[in-house]
Amino acid sequence: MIPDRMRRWLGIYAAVICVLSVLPVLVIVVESFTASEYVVFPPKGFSLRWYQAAAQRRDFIDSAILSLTVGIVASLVATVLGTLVALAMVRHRFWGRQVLQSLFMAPLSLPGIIFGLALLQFLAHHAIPRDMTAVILGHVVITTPFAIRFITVALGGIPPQLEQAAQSLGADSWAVFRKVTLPLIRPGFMASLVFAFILSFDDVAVALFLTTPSSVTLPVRIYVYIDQNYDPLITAVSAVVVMAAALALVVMERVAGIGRLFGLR
Amino acid sequence: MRRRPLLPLLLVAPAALLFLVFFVAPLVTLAINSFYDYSRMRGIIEVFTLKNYQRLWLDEYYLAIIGRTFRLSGTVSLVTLLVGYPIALYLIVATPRAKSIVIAMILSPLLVSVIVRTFGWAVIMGKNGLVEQAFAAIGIPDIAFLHTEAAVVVGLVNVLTPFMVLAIATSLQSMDPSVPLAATSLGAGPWDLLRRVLLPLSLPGITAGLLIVFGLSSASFVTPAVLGGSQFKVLSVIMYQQAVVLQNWPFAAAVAVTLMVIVLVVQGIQHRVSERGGPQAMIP
Repeated sequence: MIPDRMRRWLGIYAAVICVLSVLPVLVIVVESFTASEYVVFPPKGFSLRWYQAAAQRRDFIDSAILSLTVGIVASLVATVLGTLVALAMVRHRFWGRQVLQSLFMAPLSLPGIIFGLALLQFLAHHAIPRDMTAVILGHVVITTPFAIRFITVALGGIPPQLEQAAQSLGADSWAVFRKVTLPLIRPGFMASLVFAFILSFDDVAVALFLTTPSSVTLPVRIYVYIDQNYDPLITAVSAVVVMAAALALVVMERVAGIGRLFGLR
Repeated sequence: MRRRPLLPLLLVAPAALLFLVFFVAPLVTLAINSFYDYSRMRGIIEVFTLKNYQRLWLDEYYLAIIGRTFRLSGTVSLVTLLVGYPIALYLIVATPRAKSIVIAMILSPLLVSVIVRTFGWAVIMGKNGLVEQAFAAIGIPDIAFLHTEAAVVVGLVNVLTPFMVLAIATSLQSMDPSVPLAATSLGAGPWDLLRRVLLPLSLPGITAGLLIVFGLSSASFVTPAVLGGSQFKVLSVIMYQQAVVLQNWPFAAAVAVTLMVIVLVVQGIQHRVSERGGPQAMIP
């Protein structure tokens, strides 16, 4: 439908943009192996010295552990809450359903920095300490909409006859959920966990405002560091973050397929 | 299941409670604080005032910042459209294999923290970076590209292109494939095909993409803060400075509310324009 010559040019153009879109990430990973004292691209020599330097920084290690903990807890809580909400929304019609639906999707429309500032002022106003729990709660709010969406899609793919069959064979609601529904939505559940973890692990905007000296997430630590310094140490730390994302990407492709999650087939 | 009206309410209760306390209430606090006074000695003073909004909307210094925020978002939206449209076009003509590779490469950076991607551009455009060396090679030494508005535009276009591609590709995909085929067989060249068939048919996607990108870039913080440098001020950056550095929470709240209104108005237009709603914006 589109002339071959045009298709070829489009292909070349797409290749160039694809390279450009992964270029900044690629540059960081390559640069992290530099042997030089300062940031220079292409890097001079090859060494793991900056990884060693990063491994000796107590503050970065603490931040990495904090980010992992926050990510794991937040994604678990969000996915469980999302599953409960999706079950109610898909299987039942009840009063206030539309309002709740809008409420649960609202964080998607709100920029992270505004939510972060709001949460900061709210916690301070009620004298609630800003600690790891605060960051977790913030991340649960921004990831729950995605969890609801993932589980809703998964539930939509189950033929209602399966649950009806189990029911007519005498299973109660809980048994139907545990033995029929849950195994069938497992891929969606896993995808939701991974996606929520990545969102939480990558977040700067919300965590930036909830940070106290004892609770600095890894991305916020990177932000604060590059605000004042410019050396290859931070490229090594960033490369570790990239590898974590790459690992998550592989997991997600295995369980769900990336394109499908974004509605592109 | 329908005989137990309590069950769905029990299912949504935990999430609803969490959202009321940690999402709705904080936004209410923010809105209230934006109408409070502030003094450096006493902190937040709980008396009603419009001072913060007057300062933000009437002072020339802050008007310039609002203007810069709009200009940056507008530029980023247009550049992202130019960069993203051919990609979306390619997605509908590519072989399934090429298509999935392009989708993976365009979308996968979304999984990497925006701080890392932005820092990557800082390395590319900064001291001893690729851009500097490229210019030095053609005889232009000491080019300063980092900490300019152009650097911020490059960074934001990179971060937001996936959203534009998704928006346009969805609308191109819903087009009947026989339409461009008919146009070509009736003698339309590539240019005519693009201008008179593809562009008009993908207009809903283009509009949705422009608005999504505009909304996301107007509230972006990390990219302008890192690539723009300390002199580059947009609404999100002064909001952060007022809140964290200067501790003037009421004024920061007024900036946040203003930013929120801008974003919500843009989203409102987007929903009105595109009937199907388009792909939902995700805030990175």
